[in-house]
Amino acid sequence: MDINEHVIQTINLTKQYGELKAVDSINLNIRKGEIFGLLGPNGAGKTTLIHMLCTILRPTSGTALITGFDIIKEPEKVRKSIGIVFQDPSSDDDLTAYENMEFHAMIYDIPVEKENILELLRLVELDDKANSFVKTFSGGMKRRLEIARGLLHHPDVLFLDEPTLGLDTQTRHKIWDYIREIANEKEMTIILTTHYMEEADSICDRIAIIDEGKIKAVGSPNEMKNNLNDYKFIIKLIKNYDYLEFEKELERSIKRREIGVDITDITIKSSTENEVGSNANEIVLEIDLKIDNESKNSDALLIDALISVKDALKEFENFEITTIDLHKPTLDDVFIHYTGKKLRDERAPPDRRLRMVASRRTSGVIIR
Amino acid sequence: MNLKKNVKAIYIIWRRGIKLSSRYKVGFISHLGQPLLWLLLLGTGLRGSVRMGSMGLTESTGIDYMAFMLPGILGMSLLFSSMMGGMRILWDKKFGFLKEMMVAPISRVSIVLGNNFSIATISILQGIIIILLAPLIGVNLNLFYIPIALLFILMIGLTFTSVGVVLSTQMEDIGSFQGIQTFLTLPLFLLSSAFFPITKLPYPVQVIAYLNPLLYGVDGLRGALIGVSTLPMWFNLLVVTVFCVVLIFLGAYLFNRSEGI
Repeated sequence: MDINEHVIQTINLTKQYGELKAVDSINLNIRKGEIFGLLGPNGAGKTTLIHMLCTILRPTSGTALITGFDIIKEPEKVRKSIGIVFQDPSSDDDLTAYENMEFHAMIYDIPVEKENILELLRLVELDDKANSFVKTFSGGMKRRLEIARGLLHHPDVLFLDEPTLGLDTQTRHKIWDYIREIANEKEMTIILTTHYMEEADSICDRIAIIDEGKIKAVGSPNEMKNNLNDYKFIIKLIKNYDYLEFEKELERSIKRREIGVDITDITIKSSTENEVGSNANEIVLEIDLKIDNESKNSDALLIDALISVKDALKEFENFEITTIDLHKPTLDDVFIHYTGKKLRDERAPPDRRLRMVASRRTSGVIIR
Repeated sequence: MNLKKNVKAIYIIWRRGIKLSSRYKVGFISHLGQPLLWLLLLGTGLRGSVRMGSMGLTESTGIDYMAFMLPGILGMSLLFSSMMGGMRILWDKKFGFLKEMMVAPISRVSIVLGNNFSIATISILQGIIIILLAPLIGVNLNLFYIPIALLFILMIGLTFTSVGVVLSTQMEDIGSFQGIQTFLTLPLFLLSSAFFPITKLPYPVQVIAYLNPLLYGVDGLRGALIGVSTLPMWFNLLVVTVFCVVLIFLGAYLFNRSEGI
């Protein structure tokens, strides 16, 4: 790929706080026009990375080029070509929405055109609030205003740091729509950080998983999920005899068959171990498997394999299948695969503690 | 980064500061009301109790204590409101707007200067109002020197806004800023000759007093407004200007250097 097509290029970019390397010689290339997601646990270095790219933090070593300008040598040119929506509010509460936009236009040295400002406010559905003070806005409204503001000076690159953190589902979906719309219509490169895997999955062209200041993996969400290649059948059935023996025999029976997939593990447990209100006789059969990575039609392969498993089960008597689930790899699985399951609270700075409470809930879902 | 662009950036930041100040009407009025209360309550009380002879001024100059105190009170109110104004950077940091300014394609120095000038503008307005009210409380001012008085007001305003900026860059939170500010302002105005000439102080304290920029400001204001000063006017103006320029640059330098918003 031609180097000029990279809107952002980081070269051994590093930020060190004492012993701690918040960002550890990251090399990242981001293409023009793509929506690029930075994922990582708390304290992974996402915000530090973005703050360096936005020239408000100075790198300890290394540098980055944004639209060809060096973030250390030409910070003002970089600032002119980027827009940023921060994690925390950064609008002036004592000015109106319109005045905040006006200030932004002036400070970026672009003509203050009322129509232009109102049109952007219309995009984020705040045109009727143009003359309201920002202090009367909800968190979601402030975020929307800041997205509109970030677009005002037609940046080549728009940074969104946790654009939907703490917003309700409706607002989040709205914001995703804006992001897609902007990327399509304005041919802007968008870099966002997020904790929400479904957000990254649904809007990002490519993602990078960052942990402990390093890039663990880069690719499109689908690529990453396919590469993980971890499928699972979860079959619940009612048994009438000792399942420990059943396990061995079943395993033998399944492995005897040519089922076209690679079974990595079979576990059987009583469903009463982890579920409330389940039948005491019910057991859960979990079959971990991998499929041929080159195969075009993974779904067909999986269905064939499932039928084979069902046939294998038929060799046994006295049971009844209640449910069959197929678990395909999700971005959550990819994330856990690269970052592990440990909670990251202890590494985060103290002022992030509140945010941690919110994110602990999200990671609770991941950990299951 | 050319000069014209910097001037424009300073203007934009200044304009926002003025807009904000015009919205905090209660703050503006109470800042104005405070010096008037000092003058009316303390000034009228002391007017009858203090012999001007003991102040180092002879009765024949026709200057009473109220007139002596007016420039001092003016200096004091400038000190308070400017230091508070310097805290605006800390408020902007707390509420996040500082980030908006920091990522904009303007120099950091213009952010500091724009803030300083907007606070100083409000200080000058307060000064003008106090000067206009002076005749009502029976103090006759030297009208011819009022432009010079305004120059001193500007310098005092900029000096202490910059002190506020310097503190802002060193403090993490508003609570510690206010603690330090309260701790600093008391000696600054007591050693400024606002209430009494510093010649009445013990010698070691006098030496400290001469390090106080407000001393030269108040003495200069007194010279301009009522025609009485201990130091020559040009000297006062020179010293205040030097303090002012040095502190503006120190504030801008520290702000430019500060990281992690």
